[in-house]
Amino acid sequence: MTTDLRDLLELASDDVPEVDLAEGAWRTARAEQRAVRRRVLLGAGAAAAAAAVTTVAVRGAGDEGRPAGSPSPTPSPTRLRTADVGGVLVHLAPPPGEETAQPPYRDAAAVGLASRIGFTDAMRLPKLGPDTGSPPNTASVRAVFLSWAPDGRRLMPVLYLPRARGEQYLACPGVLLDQADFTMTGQGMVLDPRAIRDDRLAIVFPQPGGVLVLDARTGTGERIAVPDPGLHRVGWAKDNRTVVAHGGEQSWLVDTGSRRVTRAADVVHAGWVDLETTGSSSELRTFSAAGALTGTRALRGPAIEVDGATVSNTEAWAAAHAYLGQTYAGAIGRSQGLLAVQGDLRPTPRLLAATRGPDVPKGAYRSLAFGPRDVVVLESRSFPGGADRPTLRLLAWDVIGEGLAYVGEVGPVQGSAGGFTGAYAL
Amino acid sequence: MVKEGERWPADAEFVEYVRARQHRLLRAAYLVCGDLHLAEDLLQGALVKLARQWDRVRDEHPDAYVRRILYRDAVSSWRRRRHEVLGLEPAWDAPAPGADADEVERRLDVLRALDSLTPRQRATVVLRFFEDRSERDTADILGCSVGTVKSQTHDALARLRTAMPRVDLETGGAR
Repeated sequence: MTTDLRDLLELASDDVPEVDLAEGAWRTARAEQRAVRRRVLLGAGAAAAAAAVTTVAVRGAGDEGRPAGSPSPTPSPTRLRTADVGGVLVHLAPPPGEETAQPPYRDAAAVGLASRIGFTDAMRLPKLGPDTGSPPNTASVRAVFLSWAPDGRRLMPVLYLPRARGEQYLACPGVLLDQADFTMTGQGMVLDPRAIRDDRLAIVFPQPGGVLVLDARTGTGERIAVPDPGLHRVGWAKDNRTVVAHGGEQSWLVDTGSRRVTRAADVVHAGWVDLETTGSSSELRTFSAAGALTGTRALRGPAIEVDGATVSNTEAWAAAHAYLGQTYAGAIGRSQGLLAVQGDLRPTPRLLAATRGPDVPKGAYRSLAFGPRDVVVLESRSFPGGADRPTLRLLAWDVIGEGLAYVGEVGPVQGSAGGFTGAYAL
Repeated sequence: MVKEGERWPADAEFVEYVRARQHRLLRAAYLVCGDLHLAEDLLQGALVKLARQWDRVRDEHPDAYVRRILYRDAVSSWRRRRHEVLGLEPAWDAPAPGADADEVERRLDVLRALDSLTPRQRATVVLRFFEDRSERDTADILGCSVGTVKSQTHDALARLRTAMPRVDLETGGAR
């Protein structure tokens, strides 16, 4: 006698009781939103007031002109000013000098972000790896940075372990990395936002002719050969087994279980969603757990050029740095920022537009990862007073709530191409 | 004194939307994660997220939105939980008095067979054969390719047939 699977599934769940979750869900959502607003207002009252005063002063100075869109008439102290440009909601970020006056990021502790991240001398950090006598690491990696190795030529990974009982930074001298050459930024290494595996216990790095997987428990590395000398960006696909590796001309899928390497026949990406500009149009692309392309949709709104690596979350939000086209420049006087798009809905962008000025370089923002509640954590880079070295800060942009929070300062950069720091897993 | 329900009166359209779907979604979540309390938590979490975004998604694709959250959270939660309870027998509730013994046994067989699947295979089976979703819809909800859905379905059915050798499993009618 045959049995339909559908009937079996109906039978297996037949006893599930009926419960009414509708009103409770609505109340919880509203209570959470109210609690967020209250905590932000109470926790950052003085800072927010100062920021509000400063904002007025900046407007008066007219350093960027009044937006020609439709700014919010009475912005709350914790909300950014906004403008509508061709149907795209633009959040107007404060200038770098006001970033530290933003309210504190309330989920910073939950995602392991301290008010100061980084180190000054990696050689003095405790070490993890063979021949170091160190015990195995059991803490999860929240970020990975690079430092010069003792030979001054190669790079050494440094793990940030905020949940560790002992040291929060561990250098891995047993895994030394060759740099890559970049046309625009010289030598260095690009750490992909997906460099850290989702279990936060392995990190993958691009190497000439291969990928190197660092085991964060032991500090040992395993190299898997890839027939491509120009690999420059690698990250874990969502199956946490496949590494997606991009070379100069080709992309590759590396099965870290079987060590099988496959040349990608189509676009591949380490994440559910990415944002990309091809030709004159910008697109949102979706990918399978193994990194294969599953769909493409054009972004709405005026022309924009995606220029950075994309981060995404399970609610299908994606964010990346982008340059804004003439329509934006004419309307709001800003030319770059962070682009965020919700992939489940009509792909209409939201923007966090950076200010313009001598202290704001090209590529001022880099998206790092999504935190809870559709907040994207980003790294902001600026050169206050014409400084030689950039000031790096972590900010948290609430793409729904229109707010920007201050997370903390980031230490000096070593070996990372493009002037930003490491890869983060929040 | 203001009562909780009066302080934030629920949007009537949201309530109507949820009440029309919540039992089916709860059953689906239960089939994916195998734990009623966890299924309720997952559905509650997905509905809270939906409520937060309601003004934005009400006129677009709330079904896709809520399912995407529910299934992906269910897969990841069940994956975590599976590691926590690996090797333990599930604590089944005692059958209700007067329940058909054969039916109870068949229900347990199905739940045990589902336990032999990976989280994603389980979600794929539930979407395809319980929710009657097409391969394309299933791929969209789980964030994978149609090819992956096909291969996951194929592998899952093979495992289910192995786990239930006395059942001649039919899957006719799936889109």
